[in-house]
Amino acid sequence: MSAARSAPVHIAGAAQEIVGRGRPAPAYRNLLAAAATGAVADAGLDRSDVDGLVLSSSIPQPFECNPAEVAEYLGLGTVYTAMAPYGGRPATDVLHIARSAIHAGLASTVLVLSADTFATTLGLEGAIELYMKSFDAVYERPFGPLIPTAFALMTARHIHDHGTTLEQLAQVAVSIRRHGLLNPHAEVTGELTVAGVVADTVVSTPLTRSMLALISTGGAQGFVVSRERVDARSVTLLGYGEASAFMSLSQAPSLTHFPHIRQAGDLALRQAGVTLADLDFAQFYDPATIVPLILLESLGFCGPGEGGAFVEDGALEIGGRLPVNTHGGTLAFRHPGMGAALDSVVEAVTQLRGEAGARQGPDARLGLVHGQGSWLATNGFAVLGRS
Amino acid sequence: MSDSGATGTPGAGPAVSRTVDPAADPAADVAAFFWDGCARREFWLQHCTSCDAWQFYPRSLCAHCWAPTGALEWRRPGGGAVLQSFSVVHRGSGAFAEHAPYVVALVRLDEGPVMMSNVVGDVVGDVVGLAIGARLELGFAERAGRVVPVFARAGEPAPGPS
Repeated sequence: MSAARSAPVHIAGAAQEIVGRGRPAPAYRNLLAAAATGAVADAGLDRSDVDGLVLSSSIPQPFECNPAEVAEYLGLGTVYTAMAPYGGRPATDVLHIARSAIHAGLASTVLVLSADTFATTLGLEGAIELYMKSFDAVYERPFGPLIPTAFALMTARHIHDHGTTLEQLAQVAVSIRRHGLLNPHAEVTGELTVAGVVADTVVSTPLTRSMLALISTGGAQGFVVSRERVDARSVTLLGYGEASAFMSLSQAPSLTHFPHIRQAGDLALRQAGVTLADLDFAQFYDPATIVPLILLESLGFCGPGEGGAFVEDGALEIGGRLPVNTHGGTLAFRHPGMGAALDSVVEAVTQLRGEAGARQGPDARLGLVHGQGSWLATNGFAVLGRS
Repeated sequence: MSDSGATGTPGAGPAVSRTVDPAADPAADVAAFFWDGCARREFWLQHCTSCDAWQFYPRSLCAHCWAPTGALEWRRPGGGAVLQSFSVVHRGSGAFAEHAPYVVALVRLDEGPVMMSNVVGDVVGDVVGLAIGARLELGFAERAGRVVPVFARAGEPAPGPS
């Protein structure tokens, strides 16, 4: 591979549209437009600099508009366009698509956009029913799994195989809630306690409501991915890895250990030329508290079955061994839909710029961002660093 | 593996264009075959005569060795299974709201494949006695006019018509 092809690209601008807990989201295109103008302004660029657009699908509107329509709506003129379609994808893949376009010479400054409004459009119950349709229609949906059930099945097996405790699973929610309370845009209020999380309403055993992601009314994210570093606030995309190993949970080789997660993480780290020990933080997609444990184990931060012990004593908190989800993640910030992992990218950029305010981690120079499709079926990891 | 030339394997010569006739292929709709069997309270599982592996869910080829449809036989498995994991769903949504609490499980059939199903016959919500590793037996339950394969703990009365 030539040096030019492998040259890292940069996130020169980032924007995040906040809707707020329970408030109806603006129209889909309005959100996309706000994210676009916000990201370009944040990069200190002009829209005339943009020569590419990558659109992330949203959950209920996978093809609400195609990327050429969005480019036209934004008045971008002649641009390369691409779309990451709906279906078991980790939302982080849009960074990879933008980077690939730059490496291929198709564009040099790519606007990446994502917006979701689904709980506004469908209501909470409608959103849950839509999520249930993620399961295979022929061989899984007849048995009534909720999205939390997929993670509950992993959790029950992890408890069985490794002696992981409900208190350890609760500690993940407690630690990430602490971060959320430092985020002025978090959709939740109030500290959690381990005992309170364990005693909360059971959704799908052994998971309680507080061990599961929020469902938000909407949100959006925008990025400018550029071939050139624009200024000192540019953040570098040092590596990206992705791998898929199954879709139906019945086809997963294991419910607790996922070699394809290791492969995706190793690919990203190797491209970046760094190791786990170099990371100053990680932003993990956290639909349920078992997921950070599985990621810690599968990536190799600890051995199989040791995730529960790893998270005790606040190891995941800012100032701890590995700060995780410094914005509060989907457990305590928001879960707008497909773009949840892109909220993690925004947070990584903010941390690496040293602009995270009360939740700024000490000396944050290198971070890992995780996105997943469905129930750890497909995983994408981005390594981001200060430029 | 047999028949690789006919499927246009790279390196095996020029690609072959074929006309597919679903009407002439008895395994064209494997999902319909499977669920039609369930409607008669028969559980049919695919077995590959080429590599001797069982597979669930049904497919138009063997996912283990890529043997074509013709190498796949439908057989009736023994009905025994082991509970791999389970969760009691307390908040059913949509059509499942009225069934909550109910048990969603991943079960490993004695023949090897894993499938999602429900475990019935327990006092769900108080699942004392149901544990990962439990021996299960296949049965059927009727729901909204459809017969679905479900499991009960071995030694309990097999789930029958309901």
